Parts: sequence; C-alpha cells; structure tokens
Amino acid sequence: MNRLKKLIWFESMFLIKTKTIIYLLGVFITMLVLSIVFPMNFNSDIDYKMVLGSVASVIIQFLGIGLIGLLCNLFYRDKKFSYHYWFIKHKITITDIVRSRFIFYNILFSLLAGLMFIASSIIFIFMYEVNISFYSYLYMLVLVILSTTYVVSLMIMISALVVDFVSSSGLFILIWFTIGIINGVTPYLGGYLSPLDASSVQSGVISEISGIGSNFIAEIDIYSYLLALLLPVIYAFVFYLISIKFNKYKRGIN
Amino acid sequence: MITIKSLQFKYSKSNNFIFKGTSVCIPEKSFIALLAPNGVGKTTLVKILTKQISNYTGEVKIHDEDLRNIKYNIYDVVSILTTDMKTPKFLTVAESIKFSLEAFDNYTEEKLNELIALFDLEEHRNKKISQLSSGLERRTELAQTLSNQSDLVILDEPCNALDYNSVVDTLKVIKKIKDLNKTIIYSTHQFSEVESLYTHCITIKDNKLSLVSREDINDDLHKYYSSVYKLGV
Repeated sequence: MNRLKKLIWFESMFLIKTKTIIYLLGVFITMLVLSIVFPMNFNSDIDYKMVLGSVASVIIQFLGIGLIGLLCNLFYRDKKFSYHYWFIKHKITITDIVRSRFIFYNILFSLLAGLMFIASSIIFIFMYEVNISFYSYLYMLVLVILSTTYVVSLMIMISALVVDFVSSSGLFILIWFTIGIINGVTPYLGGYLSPLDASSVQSGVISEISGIGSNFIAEIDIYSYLLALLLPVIYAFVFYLISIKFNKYKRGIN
Repeated sequence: MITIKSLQFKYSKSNNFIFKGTSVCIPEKSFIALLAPNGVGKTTLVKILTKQISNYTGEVKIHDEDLRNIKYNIYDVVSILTTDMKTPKFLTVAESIKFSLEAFDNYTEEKLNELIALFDLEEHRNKKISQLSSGLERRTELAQTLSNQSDLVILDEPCNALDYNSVVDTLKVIKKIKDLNKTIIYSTHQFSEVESLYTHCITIKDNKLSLVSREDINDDLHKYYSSVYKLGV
C-alpha cells in the first residue's frame, strides 16, 4: 500500500512538474469544445437529451485519441529516462508499477471525463429545455465514466506491451480502426468488443436514451443496459491482467 | 560478510566464461576496490551480488545466507549505486531522498536532514535534479543509496562520465561513506579513484577473482593501475 501511494504520488508529480498537466488541460478543453460544438451541427429539432447523447458519444469515442501522447508513452518513458532501474532499486516491483498506473490514470481520467459530461450538461441547460429524467442522466454519466476506464486501460496495456511510443500509439490507432471495421462487418459481435465505435452496445444504449445516432444492436433491452456498463469494466480488468503478465519489463525492457 | 565459492558463470549467448570456478571472501567493514578493465566482469559480479543474475553455478553468500535462498528484497541488505539508473529529473533533491527513505521505511524528517547535511546538499535541497551539475546529481544519488542503512554498499563506477571537479567532489563524499564503517565495494577501472580509500583490492584476471589486502598489494599491480589515471583527493 505504501509503495502504491508512493507511485501514485510520483505520477502526480510527473504530471505537475513536467507540465504535462497543461497538455491534459488542452486535451480536455478541446474535448469540451468538441462536445459542445458537435451537437450544434445537427438540425434545429435537436433537444437537450440528444445533445447529452452526442456529448457522451464524443467523449467515449474520441478521448483516447487525445490521451495518446501521455498514455501510449507511459512505459516507454521509464525506458527512455532509465526510471525502471530507479524504481527497482527502491524495492518497487513491476506489478506495483503497472497496478499504480492503472489505478491512478483510471481514476484521474474517469473523473475528468465525468466532469466534462457534467460541465457540458450544465452549459446546455442555458440553450435547451431539460427533457431527460434524472436516472437516464445518471446512467449516461456512469456510462461515460466506465467507458473511459476501457479506453485508459487499453492504452496503458498497449504501452506496457509494446516497446516504444511510435509503435504503441500506432497500435492504438490500428485497434481503433480495426474495431470500427469489425463493427461495420459484424455489428452484433463488434458492438460488444469496445465502446470506441459508433456501432457499439454503448452507442446503442445512448441512442436509445437520447434518440441521437443509430442503433446497430438488434434489440436494446435491460441486459444491453447492464452489458454497456459492465463490459468496459470487465475488459479493463482483462487489460490489467494482461499487462501484469506480459509487460515488457518481464521480457527485458532493453 | 560476502563469501563466493566456486563461482562459475557465462552469458547464455556467449561461449566464454566470465567467471570460472572462482572463490573469494570479502571481510566486513572493508573498502574493496574492484579493479578490472572494461568488459571483464565487474558489472556482472555486481549483478550477481544484487540477484539480477542467478543462473550461475557455485555459491554466493551475504551475511551467511545463500543469495538464491533469500526471500526478502535484496535491496534491504545491499545499497547500490549504478550509472544506469537515473533519478527522475523533475524531482527536487529533498523529494528524491525522501522517496528513497520512505521506500525503505526509514523516513523521518531528522533522517532526511541528516542525509542532506552529510552530503552537503542543504543549499540545493529544493532544486530540481535537472538544475544540478553532474557532480551534485551523483551526490544526491549517493544520499539515496544510503537511505536503506544497510551494511553493504556497492558503487558501480560512481565517477563514470563525471568531469574532473565532479570526480574530486564525489570521492570526498565517498570518503564520508567509508567513515560510516560500512562494507563498500567500489567497482572501477581507474585505480587512482580508490588509491587513498581502499583496504582491499579485488582484481579479475583469467576469469578468477583475487583479493589482496592493502598491506600485501603487489608493486606491479599498483604501478599498472596507477599508470592508467592519476587523481589526487
């Protein structure tokens, strides 16, 4: 526990002192602007819940792209600056490093994504009449938060498995496109693979709640609502286990 | 303190042995100058002593415990400074030493101040590592190395890549560590660095380790290593 706390402190210091926090701020401001501007492209019939549906989709599908610079670089950074020897000398294990990064970045970005959704929903109150139930709103907020854990965990896993930044960021983009292709060909299967695509079960549920976008999943029922929440968490846990087992530290970081 | 018996080791991709059935016993509270040219096995020996390499034959014991049977973290009993680990540049001197003390469950504000004072880092304590000269950075790393308070300190080429003034500065600090009555293994290929410090020399020749005490040091060996580099401390 002490080592985890130290590592989380270390990551916080890294974000603050290397001014990476400014980059993150830029990413989230851009995402916020995108979330606000994107729904405005729709026709005048758009209402408050459609706007929120659009905001949720934008956050879930595009946040990953903004975070590539930080998350796909996470383990390459250790190699580049020789931090890994420094950690090991301080009795910090590889599992500690991987675990702390999963905990820290998942909490940080899920909270930021949640805050972004709340901020957008507050801004749009001044433009549209509120026509969404509290529970539907809460559901979309939780969906945004949990889907963010999928994106963050996937990126951390790729960073832990692939040797350098160019390869890991390239692989993330490749996975992003591949999921889109799989969803396009077999939406029923693809929809359950990742929230990153417009034809995912998450997008289907958002479409069902807000009336925006298209539902590629044949039938949205109570199980779809549950799966949309649970699948990102299950996948995130699988990504965590893969990272612990097959990270590049174990295969010799150099 | 450290007993090495019939040590035999070669890297899996190489046909040549680094150590071939060598034995040596390192006495407690000694300052060992581990002397050998580059590529002969100094760093390999350091890696064996810190359990980074364990596929050797023979026996290596620290405090009468076989390294391969040790269940606790080796860095609880061995303090090590190597050139391939770098302190994160964005931390301050005090933060990095505090991190080390906390990692070894030794942190108190007094201990932090004690280490900072011992290594003359008071005026630099709030500077980032990136703002330090290479000599000051090495001093900070030495302070971190001592944070686990173990009796055995391994310094793997601590003056490597330092300029003349930084070498002088670093050696002054190492003299302070020697005065703490710890067992120190100082690996180098430059005899002049340890000339005034060592109590024993370990040389590596023909895949064998041989330990000679200061009193018994051979004139030829002294001349050989002295001729490589000369530095006053």
